[in-house]
Formats: sequence, C-alpha cells, structure tokens
Amino acid sequence: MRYQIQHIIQAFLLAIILVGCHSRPTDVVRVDQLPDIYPDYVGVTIPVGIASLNFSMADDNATTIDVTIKGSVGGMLHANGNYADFDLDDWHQLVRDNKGGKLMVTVCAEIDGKWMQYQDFPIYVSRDDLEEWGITYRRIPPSYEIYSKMGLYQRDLSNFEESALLENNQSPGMCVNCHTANRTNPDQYTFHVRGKYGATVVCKGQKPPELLEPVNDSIGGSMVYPYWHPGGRYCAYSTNKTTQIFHLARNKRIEVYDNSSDVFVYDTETKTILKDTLIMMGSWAENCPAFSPDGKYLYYTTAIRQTYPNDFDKERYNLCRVPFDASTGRLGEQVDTLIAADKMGKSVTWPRPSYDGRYIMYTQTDYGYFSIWHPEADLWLLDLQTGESRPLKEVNSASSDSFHNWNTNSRWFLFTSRRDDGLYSRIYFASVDKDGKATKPFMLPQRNPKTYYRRLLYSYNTPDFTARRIEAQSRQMSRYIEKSERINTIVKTE
Amino acid sequence: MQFFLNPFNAALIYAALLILAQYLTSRLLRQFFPNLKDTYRFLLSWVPPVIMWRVAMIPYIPLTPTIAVLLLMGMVSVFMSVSSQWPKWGRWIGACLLIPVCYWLAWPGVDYDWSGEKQMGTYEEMECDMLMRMKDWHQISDKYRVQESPAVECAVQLALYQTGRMSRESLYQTIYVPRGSRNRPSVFNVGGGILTVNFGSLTSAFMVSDMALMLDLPNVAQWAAFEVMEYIPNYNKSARSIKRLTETAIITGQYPLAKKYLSILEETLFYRKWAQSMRPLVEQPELIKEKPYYQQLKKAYATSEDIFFI
Repeated sequence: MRYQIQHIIQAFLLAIILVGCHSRPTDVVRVDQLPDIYPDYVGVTIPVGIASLNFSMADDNATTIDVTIKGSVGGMLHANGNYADFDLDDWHQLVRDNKGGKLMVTVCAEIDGKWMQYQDFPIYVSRDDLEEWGITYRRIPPSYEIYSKMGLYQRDLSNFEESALLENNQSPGMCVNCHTANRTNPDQYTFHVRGKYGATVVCKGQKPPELLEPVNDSIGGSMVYPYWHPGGRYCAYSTNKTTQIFHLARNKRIEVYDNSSDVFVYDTETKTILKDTLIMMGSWAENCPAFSPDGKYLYYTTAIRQTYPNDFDKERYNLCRVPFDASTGRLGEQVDTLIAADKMGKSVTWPRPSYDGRYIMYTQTDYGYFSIWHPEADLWLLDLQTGESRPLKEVNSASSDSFHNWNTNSRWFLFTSRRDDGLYSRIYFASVDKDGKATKPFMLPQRNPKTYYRRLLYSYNTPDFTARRIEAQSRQMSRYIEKSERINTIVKTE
Repeated sequence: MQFFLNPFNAALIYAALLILAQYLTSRLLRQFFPNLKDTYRFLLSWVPPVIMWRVAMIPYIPLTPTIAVLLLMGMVSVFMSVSSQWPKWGRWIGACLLIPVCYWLAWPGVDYDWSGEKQMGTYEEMECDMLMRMKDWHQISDKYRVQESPAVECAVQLALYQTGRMSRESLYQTIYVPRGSRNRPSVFNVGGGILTVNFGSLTSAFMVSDMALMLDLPNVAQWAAFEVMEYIPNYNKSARSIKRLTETAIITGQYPLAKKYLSILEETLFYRKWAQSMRPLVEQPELIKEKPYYQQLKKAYATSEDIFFI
C-alpha cells in the first residue's frame, strides 16, 4: 500500500514536471517583421534598476515564447515559457553591465505548432539614473459616481512588489485623493480623505500626520489638488466644487467640471490658510497649483467660469504664475500668463515644473481640465529658457495622456495613459535628454503583464516617484484617520 | 451565481452540495459518536442539508459560506480518518484546531459583505429582472399590476411594447417622465435638456441597464452596468456587468476595450460561450453588419443627439 502511494505521488510529480516544460524552437521560420509583443517594449529606453521587462506575444494563439537578450557590452539572458519571465537578479546584472548601451532582444514564438523568429529589436539602457526607490499611485475603478475598492499604493520599481498605503475598504465609505510628496520625499506628504472620516492629511518628517478639517467654508470647500513648496513649510492647494455630467452620445463618457475653484497656500507651521484675492477671483476658476523648484513662483491654471452644462466645451484654462515670497508667505502682485491657451482654443492643466527648473510639463486638452476623460489630452513641454512649448509627440497617443510627474534629477518622468484599451489608465515611463527630447515610453513592468493588465479593472491615477519606501502601514493609517482629532485651520486674507 | 441562466446545471450543483453535506455529516457522526444508532445518525445527517437548503433560498446570502462549511466538514472527516490511532482526546483537540486552519484557508473566498433588501433590491425586482433576461414579456405585463418599484413599472411598459400592446411613441411618452410631474419616483426623468436616470438597488440598476439598451441608450446602459459593478458590497466584479460593458463597447466602437472584457469573460463558467461567439465581432468589426441587433444600436448611437444625463 505504501509503495502504491509512493508511485502515485511520483507519477503525479513527473506529470507536473512534464506539464511545466515548454517546447524549444525547432524548424524555425524567419519572419521579416518586428514581434507584436505585450507590452510594447520595442525600442524603449529604460533606467538601470528597473524591474525586468517581462512580456508576452500579443497574439493569444502563441503558446510558447523563447526570448534571448544579448547586451551590447556583454551578458546574455534567456527565457522560455508562456511569457518571457526573466530572473530578476540576472536581469539587473545585465542592465547594469550595459548602462549606456543597448540590449538586443531575439524573439521566437510558437503559434499553431510552428516556430517563428522575428526581427531583433533593441531596448536602450539610459546613462541617466532614476534615483528613485519606486512610485506611489492611486488605483480606482474608472467609474462614474459610485466607487467600491480603491486606495493609495506604493510599488518598488526594482521588482514587482506593491503594498497598500491606505485602502478604503478598511474604513467603509472612505475615498482617498491623490498622494502628494514633496519632491518624492516620503517623509513629507499630503492627501485628502473624503467620506465619513474626511480629513486633509499632512505629514512632515517623523511626527504623526496632522489631520485637518475636511471642509472649510471660508475657502469654499475642501483642499483638493496639492503641491509642496520646496522649502517644506508651505503647500499650495486648490479647492474645487466638482460635478460630473454624462454624455448620451458623441463617443464621450463623462464631463468633470468645477462649479467653483480657487487656489491658496497653506502654512503648515501656523496652520494658516493664506487667501489672496489675486488667485481667488470670483468670475475665474483657478486650479492645479505648482511651485517652481526654487520656490519663488506659484504656477496655476485659470479660466473664465462658464455656464454648465450648455457651455461645457468653452471653459479653457491658461497657465499663469505669480511670485511667492517664502519668508513672508505672501504672493506678489504681478500675474504673468505663460500660455494663453484660450486664444488657441485649447486648455492647459496639471502643470508640473521639472525639478531642475528647465521645463514645465503640462497636459493640453480642447477644453476643461479633467484630462482623463479627454481622449485628445496630450503632454506638452514648455521650455522655460526659450519660452517655447511643444507637444511631446514621442510619448503622446490617441488616448488621454496626463497625470505626469518628474523624478528628482528631472531626467525621467512618468504619466498615465489610456492607450492600452481606451479606458483603463496605465503608468508609463520615459526619459528626457538635455535637449528636451523624450524617449519611447514603457509600461510599468509586471511579473506577467498580459494577464495582470487584462484582468485589472482599475485605473492608475496621479502617480509620482518616491525616493524611499513609505513606512506608513495601511491598517495603522486607517485607524489613525478614524480616531484622531481634526485640526481647525486659521484663514488669513490678503 | 446566476443559476437561472442554466437551471439544470444549477440544480445539479445544489443537489451535489446537499448530498455532500449529508454524506459528510453522517461520516462525522460515525467518527465522533461511533455508538450512535444508525436510525438517529441517518435522521441527524439530514439536518445540515436542510439548513443549507434554507439558507441557499435567501437571496441575500451568498453560496460561499455554505462551501466553506462543507470544506471544514471534509477536512475534519479526513483528519479523523488519518488520526484513527490517536487517543480520543487528541482527535477531538485536533479536530477543533482545524477550525481556525480552515478559516485561514477559506476566508479570502468567503463573502462577508452580505447586504439587505435595500441594496440588493426587493424580491419583486429580482423576479422581474429574471423574467426580463428570459424575455418573458407576457408574464411581466400580466404579473405586475401594482408596481412599487420604478424599475418594475418601467419593465411593464417595455413589456407592453414588446408584446405589441403599446406603440414606440406611447412607450417614450410613458417612460420619459417630465421632471416634477408626479410624486412617485421614476427611472427616466426629463427636463431642462438633461435626462435624469435613477436606480434604487443593485437589481434595479441591472434592469435599468437592460432597459436603456432597449431604448437605444448605450451610454446609459454602460453607466448603469459600471455603477452596478461598483455597488456590489463585497468589492467583487460582476460577469453580467462585464458582458453588458462588452456590448456597449462594441456599440460605441471601443474594440480594444471589448477585447479586454471578452478575455475576462472567456475565463468564466457561464459566459465563456457567449464571449467566444462575440470575439470575431471584435477582431473584425465589419462582421457587426451581420448582427442586426448590434448594427441597429450602432446606427442609433451614431445618429442620436448628444444631451447630458445624470
């Protein structure tokens, strides 16, 4: 009896091993075309330290893929299976060894029992380091009004590990807005929580986060889109009374707009909201604040308010800036318009200055500011040295491209795009050289990207780099938000 | 589980589960109480299946807790067989320790977020929804005389139209209620150039999605299907919603999106065949012309006026 069981177990293990073995290329037919792989990593540029670019054939009929990567400087990697799954340590070694060079990828695929070898393609390894541990983002279903599970997460870019910073299912009814760090510093961040346990969470250093009252009537609402002053004392916020309406046709789904919006600066030391009538004008909608990297200017967008829903496509935001004095916490008196988008029949949103002070990357749409529902939304780059602005054709797509952020050395940026399927936003990375030319973007790597992204019914939202892992744990943060007292802010009007 | 889509399979699954429950109970009684008379054991072995059958009849309680209990019973039974040489007290303690082990194994798959009638919908709505899906228009129009639910009321109007007892024009006049013209809530309200669509529960939202497609409103059908998926209390996703989203993606020309949804549905038990039959339409959209149902909806979508709805 014992031997019988032993034989059954042996046969079972052998069967598992045999099933786990994939075929090797034989009688290979050469095909004069590049392989159609998912994600499209053909000709992309990557930084040293990024997780392995695993991929599959886009064609579901491909049963096995056999991939060999050779470095221009040296080294080789091989993978064979349902998808190309590279050993992480070997991958990192290969990429490190070929910094500044390229990796040539040879792909063979077995389709309907026949092996085909495609043209080799390169993956370029940048000389510019990423210098970031990972990224943070919000993941949320791209739904209309009701949201179920959503949360803030962080992801180690050197592997595939993701952990939750805060998930709304730990505190029912909670909705969390974008997590915003100061120059990718994980010790200083802010985000807004809506719902029963509403608060604006402000964290500086090792002290416990401060929880501000979620709504302040004197600013007309809650603190929504934040951006830190590089000095760390101030944080600019917009306050938005946001509404949605839905299209019955026109190949569009949703219009998101603000019934009112303003921009103000919050002093984290005195807990004071600094209102300035210069950027809080009644007939104008100010939005999307961002400090310049030297802290001397506050950039923001502004539009003449329209009547909704009739004039929904007439609200067009310009990009402006106003001087800011960090020693007094006061704004200057002169507003400069950097991009008069309304004159061109366009609208500017989400200005993000590069940390080296050279560029401002922004999203341009035909109207409005909530770019994720605008398929025409593209990334543009304003060169602050020349004053010239151009579309980033190297990275833009036919779907919405937006929610971008820079890494600390301003050589890399990340953004979300709906190019994958037209609805679910995914994160992409690209680099910018000293002349402002961007490289072909690559999608956030996953262990098995085809299966992962295909099954994922969530959108990535407001991603940003983080220099180090954020130590806050989801459950602890949730309990803290539920139990801690809210701080009343003081409002000072200029 | 939408068992009514295939009642034969559903009956087989339930019968198998209940027989398994009876068998495991009988086995456990023999293992724990070997001196119990056969007659008592036989009678007692029917208690869990009867309780499970009663629980399964409550529409708000999912099937997963029942399966978790069966899993526990099975594990305890196997443990009792394996530990037959152990002392009696050791077997009892071991069996008790299996409860937390089983809980640890099964908890990710168990639905804890049971919802009540308010969220899931009334029995009337569930029944009407089922009849709508089975296109039993005669029964809908004959059965629901006094409707408390706006969704059921709307379904009856559609049933009258579908059975030829109401013209398309009359249907529109009845279904699109001018805002503020009556005290009772209704599904579709019009006024001020905006269409307001209301649904009260998860089930009625499903019905609204079905009805919107019948009224040539694919974007409303899409909206309702999306919202209903987010309305599911345990954060799960709905294959029925994904099926509807596939249809609306095809109608509105979002083929890569439809492909994604089909890939998900092809991995499901009840929707695989449908997904496989739809794949050619997504890979070669020109084939949609051969499907009058989708072709007509595509045409209506392309030519309809774009007003807003909320």
